[in-house]
Amino acid sequence: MMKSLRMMIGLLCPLFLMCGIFSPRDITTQPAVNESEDPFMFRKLLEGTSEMFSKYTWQDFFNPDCEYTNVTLSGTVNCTRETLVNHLLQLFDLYPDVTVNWQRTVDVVRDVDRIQVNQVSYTVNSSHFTDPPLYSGSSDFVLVRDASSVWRIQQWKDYSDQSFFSPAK
Amino acid sequence: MKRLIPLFLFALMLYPFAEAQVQEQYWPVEFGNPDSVDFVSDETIDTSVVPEEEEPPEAPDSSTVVLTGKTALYQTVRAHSTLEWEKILPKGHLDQTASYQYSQQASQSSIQTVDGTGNILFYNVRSSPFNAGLIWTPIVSYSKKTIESDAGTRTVGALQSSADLGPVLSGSFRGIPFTVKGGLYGFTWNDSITPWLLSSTDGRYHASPGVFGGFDCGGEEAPFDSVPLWFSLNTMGRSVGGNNLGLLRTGVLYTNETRVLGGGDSIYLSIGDSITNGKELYIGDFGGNSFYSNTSWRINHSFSGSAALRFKERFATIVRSYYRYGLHSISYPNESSGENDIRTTSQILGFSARTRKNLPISYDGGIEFGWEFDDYMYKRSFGTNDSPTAAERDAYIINQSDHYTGKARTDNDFTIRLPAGFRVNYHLAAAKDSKRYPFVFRETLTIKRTNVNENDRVWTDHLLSLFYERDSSLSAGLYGKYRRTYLYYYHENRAGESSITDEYRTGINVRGTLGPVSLREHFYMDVEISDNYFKKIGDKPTDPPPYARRFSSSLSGTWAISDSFSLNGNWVNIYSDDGYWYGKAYHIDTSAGDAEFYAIESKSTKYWIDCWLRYGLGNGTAVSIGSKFSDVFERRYDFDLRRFRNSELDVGYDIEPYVRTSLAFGTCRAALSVRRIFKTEDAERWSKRKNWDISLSMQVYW
Repeated sequence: MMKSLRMMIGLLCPLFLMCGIFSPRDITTQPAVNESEDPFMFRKLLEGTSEMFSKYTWQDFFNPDCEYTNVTLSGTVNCTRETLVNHLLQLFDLYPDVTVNWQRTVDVVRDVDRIQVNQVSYTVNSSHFTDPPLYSGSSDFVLVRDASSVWRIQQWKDYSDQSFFSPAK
Repeated sequence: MKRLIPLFLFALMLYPFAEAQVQEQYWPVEFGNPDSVDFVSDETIDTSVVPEEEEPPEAPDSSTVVLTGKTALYQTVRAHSTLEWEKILPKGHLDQTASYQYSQQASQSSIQTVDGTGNILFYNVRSSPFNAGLIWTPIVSYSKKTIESDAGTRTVGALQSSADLGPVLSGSFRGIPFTVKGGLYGFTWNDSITPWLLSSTDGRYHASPGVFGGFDCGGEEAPFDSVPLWFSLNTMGRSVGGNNLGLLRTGVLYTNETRVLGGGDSIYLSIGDSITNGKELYIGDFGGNSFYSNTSWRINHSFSGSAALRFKERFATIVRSYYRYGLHSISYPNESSGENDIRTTSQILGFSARTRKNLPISYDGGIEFGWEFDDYMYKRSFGTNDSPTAAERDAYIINQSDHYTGKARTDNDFTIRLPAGFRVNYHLAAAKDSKRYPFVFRETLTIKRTNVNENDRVWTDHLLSLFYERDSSLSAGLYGKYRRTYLYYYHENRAGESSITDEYRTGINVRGTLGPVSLREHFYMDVEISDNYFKKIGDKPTDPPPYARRFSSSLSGTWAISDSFSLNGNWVNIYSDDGYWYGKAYHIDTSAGDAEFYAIESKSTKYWIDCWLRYGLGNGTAVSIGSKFSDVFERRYDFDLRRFRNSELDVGYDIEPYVRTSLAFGTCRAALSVRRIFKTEDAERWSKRKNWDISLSMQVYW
């Protein structure tokens, strides 16, 4: 009796593990490609360079000391990363289906830890625009790779009199 | 369907146990020891208020004084001195405490507190069955800090004091002990006092008188001879400066033998409830300035009810079972939004079995199942298909944190005793937490919001050990441990973070004595390997998973040179590295081919050697003189230089000579430790006023 009792207890343990009580549920969902965190398609800037952004999140596209400059006929507007990201978030709230088409017109200038992407023309579209495409322009970018091998935008010069991206438009 | 078959078999095997097992490891604390009925529960019953001085004094006029003091001086200065005086009076007793605490950090801030709590109690006042007396709790605290700003450096201080003073009455009514107390309460403070007390203040002085009262009854003694029922009731109220706070706590425990399967089985029932309602004063800090304020009106309620069966030993095995229901809520009546209100309900069902430990094969373990629901903003109801207005949106988002947690735990320990001092132990443990977030709402016509954190966290532990013990001169243990942890997310936004982590550890412990020399060695090595469930998201490989290794050796020994002298040593060496596993699936650049590698990002070697000579007299008096040598060698991979570089920690060595003494004479105990820290890279290491670590503690009775 004692022996059978202990055998029974011994058999319970593998049974606990086998019957699925201590197994995670199967994952039936494929992870979403996080387009929503890159609605402005910044990843297109590195397309064809064999490099890529490590994360498609709002903050991670930009270096902490990134500078955004909007150059217009009437002057220039500068802002920090925080202001720029906040503005991009507001834009996304206003136009959740926004798409940006970036078109490189010249080759990138490549260094070990630095990539210059100049004269990138863009058009912005959204169903919320009354008369699309309403916004267009051209930009120069400088991207740098930090100590963790992560590529980020260091400089963004935006040439447009009616820039979609400028916080002070 | 396949998974139901083992469940059915499992249920069949449980049947002979006749519906009852309880897990030894999870046995509720209020059912801790059924023989002595120690039913103190953290949440429900506090027996600390039960009168402890019911017994009449054995030796009238005797008194005891205990003086304790501790002082530590190294980077932070801390001192704590306490004088406890207990005087046994002819028909009562007197307790008086005088406590002083001082703490200073880096000469920037310090705090001093004096506590003079005491009470006096007279037994059987006027030949009545009641005891009467007085309680007092004066506490004064002064804090000081130095603030540096553009306007210059200034020192600010804050003085705070509070005091309870009032009568206390205790006794017992029909065998039930009780205590009633009440009186005046005062709270004063000055939140901008100069370092020179009483010299000048800028008038920010406040004082609030108040009252307090409380009633406690019940406790460790069963009040009724024929009924095995214990209960406890504690109430406490305080009102000061318009802030009122009330506390009500009660608990009931019933234990009895039952005849479910025969004599000797036991049944336990327990109910506990506690509620606090009101506001409290507190001291805060804003921009370097102290301020006093009161908390929001808060109601904190906890309830728990438990039932358990413990079967008497049959076939050398004790089986147990229990069920517990719990409810905990916090609400803020003054906040109409209810955004901070939360209620948690939980249920737990447990089974366990334990065989006698002296059997050739013994078992101890069981299984527990639990269900829990966290309900945020529980006083409001939310429709799942509502389209909230912009003003309501925040509340809907908070309500999305509502979640169910399904829990399962098992813990099983098998021991096989072999001849010649060998023993094999196998430990199997597993746990699962499964979270589901039921609340979904439509934010707009097109956006449907769900909480993306639904997840399962599961871990399984296997530990196999082999022990050998030959009297007290040699013992050894060899073990291997394996743990697998699953963390799976089920919403598409977080599914990509799902991972599986494997941890391996193997080690050996050896302890041996040969004549006057004894040695102990503990060596282990472990490795932690993670892997992503999804190695690609879209066309992009996920981040490579973390990987880490560690090797550790700790050798200590003692050479007993004579009865009084011994030479001791301790040598610890730890190597560790961590980085990322670049399997083929994680290659961004396909030109890397099939190569798979462990990319180490940091390496570290720490070691210290500690040697000391001890001279002991065997009566608690001893002196130890020694020195410790330690070093950290750490390197991190520099992505710019493409090579490892020494980190900032990898600078110089630490050498720490020290003397430790402990003294015991009569009723006095004292310990003194003096240590000097030399850092070879510290330019001021020879400064006589730096880097001393001194601590002194003393205890005197008379």
